[in-house]
Amino acid sequence: MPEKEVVLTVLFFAKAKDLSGTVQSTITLKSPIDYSSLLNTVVNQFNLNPLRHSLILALNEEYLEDSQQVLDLNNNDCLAIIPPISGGTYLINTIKVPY
Amino acid sequence: MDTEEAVRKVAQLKEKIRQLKEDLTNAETELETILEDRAFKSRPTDGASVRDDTIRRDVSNERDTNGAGQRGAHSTDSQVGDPASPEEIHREPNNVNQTTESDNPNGPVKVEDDCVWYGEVYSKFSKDITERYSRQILLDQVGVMGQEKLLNASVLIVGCGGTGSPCIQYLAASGVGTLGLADYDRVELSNLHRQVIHTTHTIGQPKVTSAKRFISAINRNTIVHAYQTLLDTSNACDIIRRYDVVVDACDNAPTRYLLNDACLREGRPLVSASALGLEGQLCVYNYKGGPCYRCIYPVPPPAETVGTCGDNGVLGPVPGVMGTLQAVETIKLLIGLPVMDKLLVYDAELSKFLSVKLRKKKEDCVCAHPADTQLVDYEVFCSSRANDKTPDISILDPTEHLTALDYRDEFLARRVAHTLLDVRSVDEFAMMSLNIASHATMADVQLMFAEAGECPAFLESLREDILAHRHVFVICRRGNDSQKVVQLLKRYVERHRPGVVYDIRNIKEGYKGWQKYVDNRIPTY
Repeated sequence: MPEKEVVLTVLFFAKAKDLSGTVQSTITLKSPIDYSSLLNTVVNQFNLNPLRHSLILALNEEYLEDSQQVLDLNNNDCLAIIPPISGGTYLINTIKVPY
Repeated sequence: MDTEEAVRKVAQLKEKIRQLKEDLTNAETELETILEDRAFKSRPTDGASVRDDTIRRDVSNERDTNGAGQRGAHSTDSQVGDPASPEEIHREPNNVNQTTESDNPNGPVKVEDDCVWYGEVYSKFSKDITERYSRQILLDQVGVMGQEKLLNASVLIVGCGGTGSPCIQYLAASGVGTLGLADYDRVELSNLHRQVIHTTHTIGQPKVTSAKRFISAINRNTIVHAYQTLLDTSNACDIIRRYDVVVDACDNAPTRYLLNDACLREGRPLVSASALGLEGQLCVYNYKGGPCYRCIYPVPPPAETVGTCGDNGVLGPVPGVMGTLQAVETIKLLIGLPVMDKLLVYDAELSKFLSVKLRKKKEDCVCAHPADTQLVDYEVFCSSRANDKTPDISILDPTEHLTALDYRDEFLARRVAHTLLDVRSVDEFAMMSLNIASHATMADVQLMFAEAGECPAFLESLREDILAHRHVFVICRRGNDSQKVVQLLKRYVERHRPGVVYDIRNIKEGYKGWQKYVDNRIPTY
């Protein structure tokens, strides 16, 4: 695969919307790229660190597996970031005063 | 009760069941013989054809029994029953098709079983059942076979809330024979905008009771088992085992993981839906070699990133959409149609559905060896509670709290100069607030009393207003967030107003406390 620079559309869902502060954005990446580099770049660029381990990355509506396999990206590919939706409240000992 | 006694009891009961089953089989055989015999005797001797203007009521206790064998026996005879039989009701021939059970008390006898003969006509189901489900039996994808599967099916619905409501409604209406309902909660007024099976008349009742009442109003044939309990590791497997399919309509992460693991253990498919705000997700897990919830979301989200309907709000129809889709997939699954093998994400804000093609089972996931699945403490695993209720917390010294009653008596009644700072959201403040309160959101407060950084001019003047009085009390919805603000304010005045003594306290339990102890006319939400 030839190395190239691509621009992807990024869609945010649920809590990822709150953390990134937007519903849709774009990201410039080098292709090919492996899963963990892709995750890292997206998480860092959009402030998604609290959700790092609990989100689905879906490339063109297909679940991306956490594997070594490199991904060949193209311009205008769509990357969706989907955390789980579920209610539930804090356990007392997990409450932190953030300031 | 010791173990031995319990074991003995189980053995005794099993033996009893075995005997009863045997008796039932014998009785059924006997009944079959009698019916065949009667059909034979009633054969007309002159061979003339006879109108089916007589209705015979057959007695049959089991839905499934009698099917093919009796059909054969009767469909070959084309004649009426014995006119002397008390079980027959004669009607005017022309009324056969117009008379219904309700408007003619002498009309056809109401039938509970599904194998009934109208003269020589064979009907798979009773009149009531045939008519009720005809519009869905007519579908190629359902048919008589599909309807029979539904009537014999049992579904456990966990959660009788926003997603559970339409799901229960459609499953009951479309004839799923047995529904199990699990919910620990009671109906509140603030549930009604989305939990549409509950009504103002059932406020305060357990949700399962309210749901049961609803079901009996739309379909009294549905058998309902209500479990008014929070599912946990001690009871989940025992309950799940009794049902064919589990519908996850719960509102929290711990229960979701619990249901996943228990369904793995018991080999039950899990139709899972969730909704919050303006978004929802739907997926069928643990079905035909597909992934489980843990394959997709192996790590629960950190508790502080998780919202609740109680705190974050939810648009009424959004869980309705998800619960309805959930009912569709459940029905498809029960009648053997291919179900959705994708994760469906609904974004009501953008009016968009996204369906994500899922991965295969994860090799190192617990679902690789489902029988070995061990249930764990899911509240600890998710660091969150298995209910939608926010616990009351205290991070302050007892002296830093002021009860709503004391606040009223010592400050409002005596007209002591003070600041009441309301730190809820703009909409919550607009919805209801004490007249005397100043308002600043948590975000504003963090800017105003930050250790460093820029503070907009309008907030600076607000900060001066707040600190103009020596008594500053902070109030919020439940008295949790306000405690953090008390800490922040104290730190700020220590640094920036040295030598000035401030009395900064938290209004205990917030507006909830005010409602509870001072004025119950204000709305709770």
